Amino acid sequence: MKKILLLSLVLVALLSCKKDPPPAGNVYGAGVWIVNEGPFMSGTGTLSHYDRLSKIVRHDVFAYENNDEPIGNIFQSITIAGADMLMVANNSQRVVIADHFSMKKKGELSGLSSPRYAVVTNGKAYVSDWLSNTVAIYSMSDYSLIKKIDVGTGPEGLLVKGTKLWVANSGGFGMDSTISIIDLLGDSLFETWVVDHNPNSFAVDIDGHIWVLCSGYNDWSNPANSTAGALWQFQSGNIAVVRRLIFADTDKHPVHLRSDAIGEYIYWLDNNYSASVVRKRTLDDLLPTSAYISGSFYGLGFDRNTGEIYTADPLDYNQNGVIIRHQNNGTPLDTIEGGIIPSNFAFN
Amino acid sequence: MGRPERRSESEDLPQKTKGRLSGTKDHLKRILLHITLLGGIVFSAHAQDTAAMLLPMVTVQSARDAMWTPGRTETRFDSLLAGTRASESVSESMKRLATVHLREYSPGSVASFSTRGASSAQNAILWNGYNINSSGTGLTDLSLLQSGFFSMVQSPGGAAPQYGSGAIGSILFLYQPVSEKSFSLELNQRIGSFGQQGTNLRAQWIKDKLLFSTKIGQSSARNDFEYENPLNSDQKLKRSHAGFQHAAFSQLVAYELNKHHSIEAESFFTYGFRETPANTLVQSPSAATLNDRILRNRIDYHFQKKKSTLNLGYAYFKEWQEYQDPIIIDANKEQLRDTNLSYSHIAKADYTYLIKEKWAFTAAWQMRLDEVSGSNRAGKQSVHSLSTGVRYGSRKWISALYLRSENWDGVAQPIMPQFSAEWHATDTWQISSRIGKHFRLPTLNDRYWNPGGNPNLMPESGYSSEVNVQKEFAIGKSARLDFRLSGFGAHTENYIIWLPGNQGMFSPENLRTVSSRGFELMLNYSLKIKNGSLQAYWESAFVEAKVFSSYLENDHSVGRQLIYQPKWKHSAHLNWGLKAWTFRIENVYTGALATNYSSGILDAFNLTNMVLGREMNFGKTTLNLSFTCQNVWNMRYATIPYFPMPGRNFLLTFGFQL
Repeated sequence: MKKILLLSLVLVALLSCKKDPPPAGNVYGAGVWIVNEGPFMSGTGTLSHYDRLSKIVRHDVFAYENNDEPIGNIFQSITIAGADMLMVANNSQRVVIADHFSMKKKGELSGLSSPRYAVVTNGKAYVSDWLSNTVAIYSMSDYSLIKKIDVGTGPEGLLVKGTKLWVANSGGFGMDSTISIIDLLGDSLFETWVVDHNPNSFAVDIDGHIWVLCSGYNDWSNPANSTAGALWQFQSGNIAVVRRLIFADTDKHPVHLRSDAIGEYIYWLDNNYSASVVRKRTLDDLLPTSAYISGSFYGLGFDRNTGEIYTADPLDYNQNGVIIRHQNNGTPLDTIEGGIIPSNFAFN
Repeated sequence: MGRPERRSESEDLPQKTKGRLSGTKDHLKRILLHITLLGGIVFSAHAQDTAAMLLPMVTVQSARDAMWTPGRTETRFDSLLAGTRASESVSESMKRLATVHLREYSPGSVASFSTRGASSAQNAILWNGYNINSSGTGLTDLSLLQSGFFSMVQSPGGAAPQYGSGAIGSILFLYQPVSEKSFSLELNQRIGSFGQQGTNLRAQWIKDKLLFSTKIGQSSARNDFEYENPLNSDQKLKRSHAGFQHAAFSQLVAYELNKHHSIEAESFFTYGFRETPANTLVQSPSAATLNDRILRNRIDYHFQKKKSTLNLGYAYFKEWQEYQDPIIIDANKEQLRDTNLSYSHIAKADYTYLIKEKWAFTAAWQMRLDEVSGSNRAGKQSVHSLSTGVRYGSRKWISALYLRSENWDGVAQPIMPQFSAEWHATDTWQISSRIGKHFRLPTLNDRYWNPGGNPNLMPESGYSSEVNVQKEFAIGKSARLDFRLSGFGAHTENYIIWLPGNQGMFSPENLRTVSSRGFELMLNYSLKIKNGSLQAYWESAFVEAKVFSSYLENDHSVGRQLIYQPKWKHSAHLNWGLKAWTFRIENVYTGALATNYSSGILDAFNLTNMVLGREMNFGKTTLNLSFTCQNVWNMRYATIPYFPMPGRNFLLTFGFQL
């Protein structure tokens, strides 16, 4: 009897050392999804799932549910649309679609050269394709390519507002200063607006206005040629510029624009690496002069369900990064272990 | 394949010391000796006069190198190499050693290695005494060096007090191969699967007091081998854009001024063109290419008298490297074209004096000037060093103390000592030990890469030690067993790691402390049989190399094994020679390793090669023909994730020696 007890204790001890397996029945449902880019040259990105109630993190859930199939090299972003999750693997040139409750793979979008972000509306997926300077449109019923629309250089962030798709042309390896606006009714280019250098992401504010974050241009070989980033505010109905706010620092290149649930505040990272979080009240005219949350972050997310701010610190880019959960006032709550180079989030 | 050989002094220097040289042949032999024993051969020759200067476990060429580190273990690449493997690269030869772990993206691609937990830049590669690691990257690309150009000795363990920056994990000695014939010609040609082919041609002439040695090599491969698509395991694909073309040329001229003075000059050029394959998770083929052109020149003067040896030398290296990727277009609408140009000037002098029968003294000076320029870097540095050593040797004991002082860009570095000793318990038992400090200067890329270079980096520094036990067993009249066990430990501070910095760019920092320890075991059994011989060789290496501490907050790497460093590696071969036939089975096992400090693991793999060879003699001419099956069990493996290596493949090799 003692032996059985001892064996049981050993077994329990061994099992308790293991990482938490995915839940029985493979139902993921609500939670926070963490995009881990993965090693740059020699690895695959992974997807982690954080359950807010149990606080359990499950790593690499897509591979776990799909016979170890990798998502791909440089896992860039995810989009949740109904039951579907679109996982965009930039370097692997594919968008993998899975049921986000079971994480079972449903299909793939192919024919892309460097996909970055995806949105789904009216049964179609729109994917920004960074190297081909296009937005590719796919049918979500059979995942077939419908058409590609030429936009600016290095299309990146996407936003659907009404019948328009806003596209940030980030400049790719070089420079661009435009946003493209696509008419979703005819799937054609509607307008192109000139903003500051290298726009990358969008957010919608409390008035329904659209904010565009521009990184500015970073000339590594000659920093004197670098330009500062900027924030633009657009009226979204009859498209018109409301505000243009220019950052002071040409050494920093802000990214990852987010908004809270009602659009009262917008948040962004003040740099593309080792960044701090900056918060701005959308009604204010001035740019903040200090960081809202200081750190060395690479990824940023805003959980509209809880009002919490998620930041991602990739540490040395060669080990599991750290996700820090903050209260809405910026106070850290706790940390979550991410995968390698956590960079993006989706909240469900 | 290399195997350690214990060679006695009488094997090493028979003619020189036993007065067999006469007339013109005296000159020839002396020239050869001068060339072969670059730096300090006189001392070795003097050693013949007294038992006090026994040179244990050394090859002829490494006489000076070994004498100041008694007990250093070495692996010499044996004669089979000359016959059948002269046209393979040094990286191909090295990967068979248990003490070396080699990383490559595909055959012929940029190859780097680690030994005893030390990375590529922490291993010194000495070409005839000059460290050829690039001043820009700190690395030597072993795939660009063809084995037939060198007589190679790999020696694990640190020796920075002797060889300076970077000699932390091991030393790879590349010496001039020599033949004692007045004229010799060797040709090695191979052809195999995936478009593999290679040629190595060596010719040597000796005329009176002059020696000419010419070496020409080339190799290429398409590398369009089959692999499994990691995104769809049912699909087999062919590797694309992984081919390469390499070429090399070397010309050596040596002249004996008189019986005390000789001079030699060598020019060595290597060329490489490589397609850079994509990670197999990337579905479209890569278009990136890497071009290398490297010129290395040296001139050396040797003086020897009964008790003194003086060597003076100068070397000039020029490296040009260009990485192109037509897919990457910058803001000026131009393709990515990254060019790296580096120059090195090295001047050195060393003097050795035999004080008494049992005591010797040496002093050396070296000056090195390095400069890099190119698309993203511009910088230079100067390093001056002074070193000195004293050595005591008796029949039972040999010990040496070595000290080195460096001045790096005008800043004096701490003095580095090294002490080593060797005790011969009996004629067949030997115990040796070494302890010393080591260091590695940051590379010029580390300091001057634009953007991100960190001019304030400190050198990596630390200490290492080892203990070796060796024993020879005679088994009857015809068999012998050699045994060697080495235990080692090392500790390195200010480990340099590149991290993204505040300006949005990667920058190197002195971030971590790394500790390593482990052991190496070697067993070599040889048996003479009727009309032939049998050899069974086993080598194992265990390396536990861990991050000891870190300045990075929440660093999960602390306490974990270094990435790309397997804990275990085993190498074994069985060599059976019967009359003119040779059959050889090689087996190399590489243990699982971490590719990052998360869950990234590369599985262990076991590679088996089989070689069947035939030698034919026609007077003074020898022909070798061999057939090799590599990766016999068609093992799927990689040394970098998602960069697959070839499955089963075949090689046909033809050798000609005159």
